[in-house]
Order: sequence, then C-alpha cells, then structure tokens
Amino acid sequence: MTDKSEMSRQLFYPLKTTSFKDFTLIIPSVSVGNVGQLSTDLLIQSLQCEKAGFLWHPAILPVVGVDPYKVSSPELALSAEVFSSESHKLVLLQLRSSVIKKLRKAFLSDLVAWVKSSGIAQIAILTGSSNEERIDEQITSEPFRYLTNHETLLADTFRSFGWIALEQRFNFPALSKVESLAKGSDAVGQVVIPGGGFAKRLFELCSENGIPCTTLIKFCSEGDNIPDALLVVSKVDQWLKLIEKDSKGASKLVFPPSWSHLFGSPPPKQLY
Amino acid sequence: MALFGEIVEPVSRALYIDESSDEEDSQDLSTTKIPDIKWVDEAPTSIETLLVFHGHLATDFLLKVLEGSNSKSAAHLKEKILYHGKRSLKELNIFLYNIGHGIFGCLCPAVDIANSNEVVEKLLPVLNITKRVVAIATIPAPFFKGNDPTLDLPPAFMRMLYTSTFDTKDVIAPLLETPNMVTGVPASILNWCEVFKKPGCLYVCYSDSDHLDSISGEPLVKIFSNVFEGLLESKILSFNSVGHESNSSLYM
Repeated sequence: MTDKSEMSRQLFYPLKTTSFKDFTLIIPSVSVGNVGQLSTDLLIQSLQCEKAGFLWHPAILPVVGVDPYKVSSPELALSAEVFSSESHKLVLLQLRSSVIKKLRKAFLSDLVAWVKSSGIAQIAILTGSSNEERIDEQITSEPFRYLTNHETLLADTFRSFGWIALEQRFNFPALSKVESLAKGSDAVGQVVIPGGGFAKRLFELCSENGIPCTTLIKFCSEGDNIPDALLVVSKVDQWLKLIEKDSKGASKLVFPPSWSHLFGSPPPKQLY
Repeated sequence: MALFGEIVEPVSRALYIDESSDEEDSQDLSTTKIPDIKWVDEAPTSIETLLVFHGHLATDFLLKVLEGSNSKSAAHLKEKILYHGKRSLKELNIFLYNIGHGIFGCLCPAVDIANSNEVVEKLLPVLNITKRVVAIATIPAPFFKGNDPTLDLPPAFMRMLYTSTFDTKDVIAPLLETPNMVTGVPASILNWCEVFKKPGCLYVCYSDSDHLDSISGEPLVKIFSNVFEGLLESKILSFNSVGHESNSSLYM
C-alpha cells in the first residue's frame, strides 16, 4: 500500500495517465433508493464514458461482478470505479457498495484530498432522501432540492431553472418551522438530508476546503427508482448540458444492460 | 434451486448499514485489530500461486486436501474475541499452508464483510510476493440469480471472474452473469488484484448441498484437475458418493 502520509493515503489508481484539471466530478452518495448510483450508471452509459481507474480504500465494502455496461464482457466491475469523458470535461465516480461508517471520515478526507490534488473544478453529489421525512413545503412541491456552496455563481442559475434550495430545519426529526435558504433569511437552521448517506458530510468537507460543491437531492422511497434517476439526470443535464438531444428534443439516454436485472429473477416455470 | 418449502432469504437492496448522514461518524477504536502474520518457518521470498479458500465447502475441501497430502502449516493470522460496541466478534483464524510446488493455500473462514479489506491488507506481505492469486468461493445455489425461468442448472456448478492481467488459458468456467455479485474476502482480493495489476481469478462454486460429496465437490475437483493438473493424487480428489443424510429440518 502506498501511503502518501499518515493523514492521507493514495486513493485513486489510474489506468493511464490522465488529467482531470477543470473537470466536474459527479459522486453518488449511497443513499435511499440508490438514486445517486442509478443516475451515475445512466450517465456513464449514455455519455459512453471511459474507465479511467479505480479507488482502493478499506472503507469501501468489497463487491465484484462483471461489467454492467457491456453484455458478455469479461471486464470486472469493482466496488469503486472512476469513469471520465474528455469531451464533456466530466469525471464520474461509481460506488457499488456502502462505505463502512467507522472509516467514513477517513474515506471522505482522502477523497477531498484527491479532488484537490487532481485540480477538479467542482463536485456534484447525487443523492436520494427519504420521502417520509419531508416537511409540508417539500410534499407540496417538486420532490427535488439543491444545496450549493457556490451561491454567487450557481444559485441564480439554479433559481432560473425553477429549482428550490433545500430548506433548513430548526428541529429534526420533529416537523418544524421552515426557513428556505433561497429566501435569504438570517435565521440559521440546520441542513438535514435524511437517508442521504454521506452527502451532507462530503458537502460540509468540500465547503471547509473551498471546493465548489453542489448536492442534488431527490426525495424518494425504496422501490422502482429508475424514474427518480431519470429526473436527477435531467437536472444534471439542465445544468451541465451533457446529453445529446434527438430531433424531438428528447435526451438520448441509454439504459445500462444490467438494469434489466433490477427486480431479480423471474419465477421458475416449475411453479405453474 | 431452493428445496420445496425452504425459506430463502430474498436479496435486498436495503443498505448494509444505516447511512443516515445526520449521525456522527463513529470513531470507535475498539474495533477489530487484526494481527500480523506469524510464519512457522522462515517467510518465503516468492509464492507461485496463492489459493484462497472461502466458504463452508471450500474449507472442507482444503482440509481434505491437507489430510491427504504432505502439506504443512506455514503461517497463522489469529485474532481473539474483540468487542465492537456491545457486539462481540468471533475469533478469527486465518491459516496459510504450504501445499508444495510453490503453491500456498489460505484458509479464510467467515469474516465479517466489514473486516474483509482489513484482512486483505494484513495479507499484503503474502500477496506482494505472490505471482498469481486464485480465490475459490463456495456459495449456496439459491443465491445464484439468473434470467432463465427454467433454472435448469445442475446441483453444483461453477462460474468465474478474472482480472485483466490473468492468463485466459485457465478460464475453465463461464463468466459470472449479471446481476450476481460476490462480496467478502474473495471480492476484496479480486478488487486488490485488479487495482494493483496482479493476475488473479475467482472461481465461484454454487452448490445445493453444504455437505462435501462427489456432486457438491465436482467444481472444486474440476479446478484441481485442470488448473493444477498433477498437483494432487487422484485418490485425494475422490469423494464419497452422495449420502442419504438429510440437511433439511422440514421433514424427518
């Protein structure tokens, strides 16, 4: 293992020499409905991203299988892989398993250290958040929120899209008075993303380190989360203009072949 | 593949651990501290192949192989019961055996998935001097997921995964189909092999039975007959035919 120092270890192992300078990094937070991971899968497949390397960290629970993007390919699918698209100036980290809680802090610190050293311009965290924890304002509006630490540059853009900033909450989990960040109130509540995995921690860490970071949050429940992923990808596309459109103006999205297995095996014929 | 009336736990997409972002990160340091490897004799300078056995059947198979050959214990990685919060963890014993011809066998019992990477990091001194890593995992057949509704599979069958640097002449089984994934120590080892460009493969042996016999042991025998031809005597690779011992508690 090649530790750079006691505080930070080498996290990224590239397949070839690549530069991510001024790229946007998309990271899914392992969260409710696996929305972030499904959205990342959809972006990797639709943008035909190239595998750029792997992450190796003891915090990432190990899983291994075959390539989810190509049928009958012997290439392995590892726990944490990095994909990139030079033409879109995009890096995507795909996490296929959870991060061990006791090592989460160390993992996120190492991740931020890697982002800083690689010259990545900004981070987009994609996450789900529990439907059942919504407050009234969130139930009665589009089930999507954003959170950004780059207010000056991005908040106006996002508001022009009609996006709503994540409301701060004074008491959690109790239902409480809400103060929207977008309204610019002086009152300070707290940011909560129930069921959002490490999204909030990573966002805070990026803010502390001066890395422009935006979190896109989709409220959802466990189940068929493909529609949630489609919505998140459409929001990413609205912001970063990534996906080609057909003659009718619809995004040319390609579903990964592995999605045909999302709901398990069909019932055995012997049953009937 | 499940027996009639058998309860097979559904594979859930539920998260392994509670990922609520609003809880403080646990920095509990009373977690497992896996000790260093203790070699019985002098540590080897090079290992041709490291065989890692994981799972009930694979463990039984290695023990049978060791019983019938002149293999000897080479190293030991032992951990006492430790406490993680209120939960006590079982004693962890990882043994390395010198099977001969530069081949070492690693007996890796059930390790908590959360400790799999730590185990692999502790095995790094061994992995670094190994030219090729072969992991063998045995998994109960009901965990195999396939799109074929007839599920016309034999009682014991094998699939495999291999790294980009692995010699494909030792590919003796079909690739593991999506959406099947392997976790735990075998997955951690294959992840490490791919990241650090070490030739490695994982034979995934599925079986209906958790008792080692001529049928459930067939995939394991195939590995040793093809990949390690001549390493073991044929009598070591012969098993009792399937017994009538019932493993089901559903019927007497």
